[in-house]
Amino acid sequence: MPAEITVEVHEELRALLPGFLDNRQRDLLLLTQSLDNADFTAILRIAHNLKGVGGGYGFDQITALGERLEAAARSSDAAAAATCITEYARFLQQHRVVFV
Amino acid sequence: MAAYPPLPAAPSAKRPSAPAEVLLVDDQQDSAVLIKHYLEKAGFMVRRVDTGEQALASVPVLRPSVVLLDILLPGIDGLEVCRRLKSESDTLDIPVILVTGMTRSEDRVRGIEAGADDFLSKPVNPEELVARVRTLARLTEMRRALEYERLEREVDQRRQMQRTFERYIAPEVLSEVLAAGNSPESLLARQTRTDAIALFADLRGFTRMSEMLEADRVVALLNEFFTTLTEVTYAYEGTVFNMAGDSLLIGFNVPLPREDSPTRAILAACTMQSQFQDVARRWKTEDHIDVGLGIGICGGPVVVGNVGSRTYMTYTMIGDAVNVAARLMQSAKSGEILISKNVLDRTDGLDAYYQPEPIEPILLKGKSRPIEAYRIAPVFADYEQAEDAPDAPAAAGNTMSLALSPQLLGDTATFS
Repeated sequence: MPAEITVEVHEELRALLPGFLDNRQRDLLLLTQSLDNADFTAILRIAHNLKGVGGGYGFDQITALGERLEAAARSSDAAAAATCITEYARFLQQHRVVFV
Repeated sequence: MAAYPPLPAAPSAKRPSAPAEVLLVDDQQDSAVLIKHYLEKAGFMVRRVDTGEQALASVPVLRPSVVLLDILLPGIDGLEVCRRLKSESDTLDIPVILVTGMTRSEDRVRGIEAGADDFLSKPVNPEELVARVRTLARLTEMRRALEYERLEREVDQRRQMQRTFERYIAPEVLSEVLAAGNSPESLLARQTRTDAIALFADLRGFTRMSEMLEADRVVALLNEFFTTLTEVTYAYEGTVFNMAGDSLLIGFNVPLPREDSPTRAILAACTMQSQFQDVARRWKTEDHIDVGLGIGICGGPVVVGNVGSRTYMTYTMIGDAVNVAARLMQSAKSGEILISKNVLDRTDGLDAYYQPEPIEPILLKGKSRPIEAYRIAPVFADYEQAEDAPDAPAAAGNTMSLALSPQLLGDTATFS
């Protein structure tokens, strides 16, 4: 059983969270497809968005991952991008939200 | 009489009102939802568009208090949107906050060069977001409040100026002045040298009348006298320049040129005599006073404009033609019109109606050559004689319609 990653989200964002998480799953799908196609432009765009949006909802891990993935995409580093995407998939699977 | 032209419109600026409106330009759904959430919680009204193109179309229409602009947008990017907003006169005063995940200083420099007023980094810190938006929105609202006050003052001044101007010129001429994009104040402020026809009309028997009657009655009769003459002036699109004591100075061909102004001046003078004759007859019955009207007309170069001191200004007409018209008016007997040759010469084909009769040339102080002038009198008999002529007025009282006859107006030589 993988360890849980706790994410503290402000109570006032409770209603916005389902939409946010749905979109993150959609991003994971798009990232995987883009990596298969070696489409670093698409990866860069999604990574940039992840970097910009994660922390705002309390998901600092997503912002940090987005930043690393953005750098990987910028240098067309497929291996580094794959690592980030794997970590991202794991995070989405393992995180647990606590409203504060 | 035609309706007066509409008064200037109310100020076009938005009246400042709460809540302040923010336009959010962001194609990223989650980011936009979050920003909208915090701003609405802080009391702002938020509208959102997804693209730079939509932003450029919306900002001039919505005129938000602040634009929150993401840099990375599909199509036209945020920097270009910012540049365009800041280069258009109707949007350059709207503050733009660039919202960016870009952290490099060169990106900020590009933002400053594009004219951005402030920056916010993504992920957006809610307190910082609200504080920055609030500061700029307040500035916008204050600027708009001041602008609104200024426009209101300007409209008030324009309305006042227009009302003042309405006293001088015919409503039709005023409509034309305004339709041509002129403002009454610009006409009043401008001193122009132009060719004009001066008409002086004077109430004969006024001194005796003011001795015989009570002051209230004198004022009432004078008001009737001036009203009668002013209405005739407006019918012929003349401009009332001066009302003093018992005389009236009227200009034709000013402030807007009329090719047939010599004809208009003569027709106005005849109509004044005709209409005032009825008034004088009634005064004789009611108040037992004997009055009449003497008129002098002369044309030539004049200066038209606002003349006076800082505290007392009057829209007037100055020049030799005015002096000569005054002199002719003084020489005119009751019921007579004396007209200078230079005006009469420019009313081809009207002699049949007036049968002008030359008078002894008038010498003016400081002038080497005497002024050649004619007498038109009695006006009413002339009209009756002309009854058989085609398009001639049927009776003296009908001279208003004479003025509108195309055979008589618009066909005469220009006055110069």
